[in-house]
Amino acid sequence: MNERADPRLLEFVVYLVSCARLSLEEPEIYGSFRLVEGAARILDIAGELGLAVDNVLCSARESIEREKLRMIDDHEGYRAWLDELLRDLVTEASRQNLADTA
Amino acid sequence: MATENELTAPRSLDAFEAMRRRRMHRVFTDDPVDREELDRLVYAAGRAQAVRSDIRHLVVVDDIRVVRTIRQSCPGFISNAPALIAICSDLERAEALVGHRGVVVVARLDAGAAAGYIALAAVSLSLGVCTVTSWTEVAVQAVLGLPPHIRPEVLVAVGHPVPNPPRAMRRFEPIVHENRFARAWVAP
Repeated sequence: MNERADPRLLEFVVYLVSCARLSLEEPEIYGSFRLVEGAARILDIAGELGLAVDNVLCSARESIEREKLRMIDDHEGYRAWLDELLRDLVTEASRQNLADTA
Repeated sequence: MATENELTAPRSLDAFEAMRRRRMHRVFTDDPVDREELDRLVYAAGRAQAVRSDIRHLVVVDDIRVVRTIRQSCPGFISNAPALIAICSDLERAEALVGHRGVVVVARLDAGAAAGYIALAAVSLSLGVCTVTSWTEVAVQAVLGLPPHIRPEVLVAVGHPVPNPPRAMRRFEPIVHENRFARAWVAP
């Protein structure tokens, strides 16, 4: 356990803990934004970590980059976009889980 | 730091035009920001209002390792900027010279003005900046090695914007009143 942690893991943990502390002082919607930004960051390093990223996740990553800043001045649009993103991801998760158990 | 003549003579841009073009950038090229360019931004920050001397401190960061750590630990730093300027205040000196209000109000106002000047100077230099305020003091102090009496006020991410940046956020217009609150100002 004494070997140095993978810096990418440390980076992600530092980000999450920083968000956890900051979320105590920010409006709720920022917590949502930090989480979706975290999703983008883990997708950014997934390839380096040897985790496969498929078209669905690539599309999700692009969508996050394109839409996330709606949080600032279009809360309804942000909410609708998150609903759509969530629906797409859950649909894919369901499809994959059902395929695994078939 | 460059001399005043060096900084003011060669580049001139109408102040209102700079204000019109000012925006926040969050997508930058991989090109580093030259020290000369950073020094011009330092000059701009130094020209902004300051209630007394030696309260404002600027930490200019262009070591990509430090920028990376800031990006990791400051959730609001969501750009890929290769440099940043941390605008900080000496709270002991602010307290001694201006009192409690100097600490809780004036130092922050002055830091905001410095960030604004940096943003306008960036337009003139064809640089892009993003004012970052979503972070915790403890994180920035740890990364930059700030002593306890130096309070980080605002981070300004700096870089070269990509040629076709994403659209800017819409402008937030102030609500303007005439003479007293609630009577709308009518532009002449």
